[in-house]
Amino acid sequence: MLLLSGAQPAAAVSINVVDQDGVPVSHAVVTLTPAAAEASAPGAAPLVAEMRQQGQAFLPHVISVPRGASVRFPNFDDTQHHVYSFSPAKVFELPLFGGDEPPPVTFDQPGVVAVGCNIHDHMRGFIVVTEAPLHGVTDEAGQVTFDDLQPGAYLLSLWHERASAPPATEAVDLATASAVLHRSLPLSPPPQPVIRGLRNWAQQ
Amino acid sequence: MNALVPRSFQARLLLAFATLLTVAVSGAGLAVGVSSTQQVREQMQQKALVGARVLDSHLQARREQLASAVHVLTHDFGFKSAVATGDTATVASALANHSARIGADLMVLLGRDGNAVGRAGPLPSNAVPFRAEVARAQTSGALQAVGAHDGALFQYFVVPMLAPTPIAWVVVGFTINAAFALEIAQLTDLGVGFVALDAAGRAAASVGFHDDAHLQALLADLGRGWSGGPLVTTTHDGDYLSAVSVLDDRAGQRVFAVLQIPTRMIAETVRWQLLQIALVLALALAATLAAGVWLARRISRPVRQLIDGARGIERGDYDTPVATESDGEMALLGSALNTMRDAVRDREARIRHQADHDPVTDLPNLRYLERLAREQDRPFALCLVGLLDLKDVSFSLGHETADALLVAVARRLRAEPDVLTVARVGGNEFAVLLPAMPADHALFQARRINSAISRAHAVNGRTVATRSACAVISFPEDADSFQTLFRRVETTLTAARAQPDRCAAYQPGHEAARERRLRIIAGFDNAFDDGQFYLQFQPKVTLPGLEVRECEALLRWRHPELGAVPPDEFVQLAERSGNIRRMSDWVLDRAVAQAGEWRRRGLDMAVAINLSAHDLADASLDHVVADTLRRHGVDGRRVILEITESAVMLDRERAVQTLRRLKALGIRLSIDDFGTGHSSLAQLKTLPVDELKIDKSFVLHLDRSLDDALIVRSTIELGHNLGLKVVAEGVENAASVDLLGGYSCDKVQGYHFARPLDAEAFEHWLGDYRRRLQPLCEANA
Repeated sequence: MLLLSGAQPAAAVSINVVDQDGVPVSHAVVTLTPAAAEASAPGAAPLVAEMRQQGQAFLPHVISVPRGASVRFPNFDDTQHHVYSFSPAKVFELPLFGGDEPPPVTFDQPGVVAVGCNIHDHMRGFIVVTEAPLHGVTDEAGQVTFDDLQPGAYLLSLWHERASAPPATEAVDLATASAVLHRSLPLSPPPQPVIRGLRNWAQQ
Repeated sequence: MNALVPRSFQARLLLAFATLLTVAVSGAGLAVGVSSTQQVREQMQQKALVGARVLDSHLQARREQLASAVHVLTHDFGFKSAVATGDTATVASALANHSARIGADLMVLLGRDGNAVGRAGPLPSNAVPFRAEVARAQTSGALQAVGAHDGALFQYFVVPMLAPTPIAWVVVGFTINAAFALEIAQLTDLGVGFVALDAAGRAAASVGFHDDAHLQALLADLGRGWSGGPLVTTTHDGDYLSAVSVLDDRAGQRVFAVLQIPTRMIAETVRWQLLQIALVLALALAATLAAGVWLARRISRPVRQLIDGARGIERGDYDTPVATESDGEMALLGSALNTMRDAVRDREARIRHQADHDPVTDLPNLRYLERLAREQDRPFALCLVGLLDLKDVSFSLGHETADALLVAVARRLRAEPDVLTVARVGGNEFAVLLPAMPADHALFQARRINSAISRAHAVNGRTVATRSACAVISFPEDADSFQTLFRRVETTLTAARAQPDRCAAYQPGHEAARERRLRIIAGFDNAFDDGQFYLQFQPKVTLPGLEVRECEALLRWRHPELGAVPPDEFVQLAERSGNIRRMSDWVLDRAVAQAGEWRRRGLDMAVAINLSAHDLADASLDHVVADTLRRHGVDGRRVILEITESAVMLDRERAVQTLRRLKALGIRLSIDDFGTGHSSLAQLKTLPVDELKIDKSFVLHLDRSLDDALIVRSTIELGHNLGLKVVAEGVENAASVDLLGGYSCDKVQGYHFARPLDAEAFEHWLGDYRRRLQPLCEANA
């Protein structure tokens, strides 16, 4: 649909995110919002995304979904999980379940939803609910690529769970057919495994 | 030797023991003392470190308690839910519940922004901001800390509540208060204190310091570049050794735990330990000394025995053998001592025998006799036997024969009955100790001895004859000591020689005469100068005219103690003692002087002076006489020298020459005491003499003895025939004067006319005599 809509050729943009040390930052959510924004992206079908539990971790660790999307939480582990979130964007709780997948959760408010497991404290996942039409999560190389992009002015925003500053919005002009943007995102050091090893930690 | 050093072997041994031991023990004590101080100090430091570990483990236990509690709280899903949903009532009740469960003093819930959401527990009473802690915990995930808040000290955790990202922070903790400090102090027996310092080094909170001075002193020491080791802090109540642990050290605040020991406790402990050591050492010293005494006794006992043995020998105790009950060298020494003891005993016996016995006869000597006599507790008699011919035997037959004779005599003396002891007490003298007996018995015994000795002796193949004299004396009748006894018996022996039977018993006079003689001889020295000697003059009267033209000067002695000493006695002693020349010279000088004086006063009086044989033997006699005459200006014709015939006969040739020279001086010579000597008239004829003086023994009884009268008459006739004047002395009565006149005697002298008189008295007498004589002569005429 986007491919068909404009006479102008579609643009492709890659965004590379590194931290303050130049290390590629994965699991960063990049959103692009056209500056001349229409009210909403029309025709977008309700999306069903998935964040499964496998190896006592949420996979993928970070997903970005449009507002109104539903997310499935299938359990691939032998153990049961108790998935919950107390984030203001979406408070929910999926009490103990195993192979019997609970119903998907719908996220109808934008915001970051931190997902945990009440049984396994170390399990953490993030669902970024956004209204931006373009969004994606950086890969292991810290890169995310958007294809078939209408050239024009966009608002770029970056989020990461350990970003040391609150997310900021930046205007970018994507006039050229293809572009590679390099962005630096300062991160805080990874948190100590407080919960899992409190007792050990206390004995240091 | 130094008085401080004991002399006995045992004491020296002990002293050595004690000295060595004391040195060793003192050294040990010193070493222990020094190391003890060090050791106690290390112990104290160790104790402080142990205390620090105890404290640490207590803090650790509390930390675990807190961790456990906070874990439970932060993982409670319901609580998370309540917090997430802002259910403050639920949150508050949950906090209270958890706080009470572990007895936490502090429990605060903070929002993500650091503002308190809720709190529970007794402390703090007012809001305590933990914003800075939360900010730090956000980067580190969580925080455990010890720190001061609002002036109180806390041990606490700041832990996030994760859902799964932090949705809130929980602060949970215990206070570190005085009760805790006391608990640790009681557990560790140390002073325990805690202090938090702010960035400026000021105390933000402190616990357990019993006064501020302590705290300030500690802060000062900590401020002086403390590097983690033990501290010695000086305060007003002494020094403290402190072990300091850092409980927390972060920007803005440092918290220390301090465990203190007063250093005086170190000193006290060391002192107590030293006291114990000293006690132990003293006991050891005492025990060792006791052992030393025992050992020294054991070692020195044989030495002591040997010493006792040697002392015994020294005392002359030869009968007790030296104890040799030990073994080894001591026993050898002991037996050597015993051998020595025997040798000494034998030698001493020999020496004593030699000292007490005469080597020739093996009889006791005088010394031994004296001892034997003293040991006699009964009266006894002593017979002193003198051999008369021993010198002759020795001279003619040799001294071996004389010695053999002595042995033979000794044997014979011992064979006499009743003899107790025979001793040889002099070259030719034996002493025979007899039982007490009357003097006549003793004399009888003495005669027996004399006759026994006089029997011929068979000696060295010859027959030798000898004679003896014996003197007997009784003890204690005749003397109160042996020395006196022996002296007296010796005197008696002299008397005995003169006896026909050559025996004499002691008579008390013997001794007195001897003493008198000695006193007379001793008295000569002073007699000349003290006027004790003086001259008397006795007139010679001519017959038939009865004129007095001569007198005889007679020496008299007035002894200060003995009174008048008879001239016969002292002249004889003067001859024997070598004083006669001096005496004769004195008489000569005085008599000539008197003659000179009379002459000057118109009295024509010749003086007769007696000379002794010694004077006559002196070749210088004539010079002395001539000198005397010249000095006093007296003509030789006024001097008559009287000499005895025996004096002339001693050395006739010389005497004749001397007499001739005297005669050449005009001096008349007279033969004194004529008739007592052995000279013959034929010899007399050749002497250049002028007169004879008939000895008074013939004259005294002239009127009663026909024999004497015959001798006197014959002597007068013979004298006249030889051309000599004859003088008779000892004329005591008129009858004798008449007889002598009838015999044509030329001069008479005697008491009938006058006894000897002093010069002055003589002059008076002469005056009287001449007055009386004058009418007589005139009548005769």
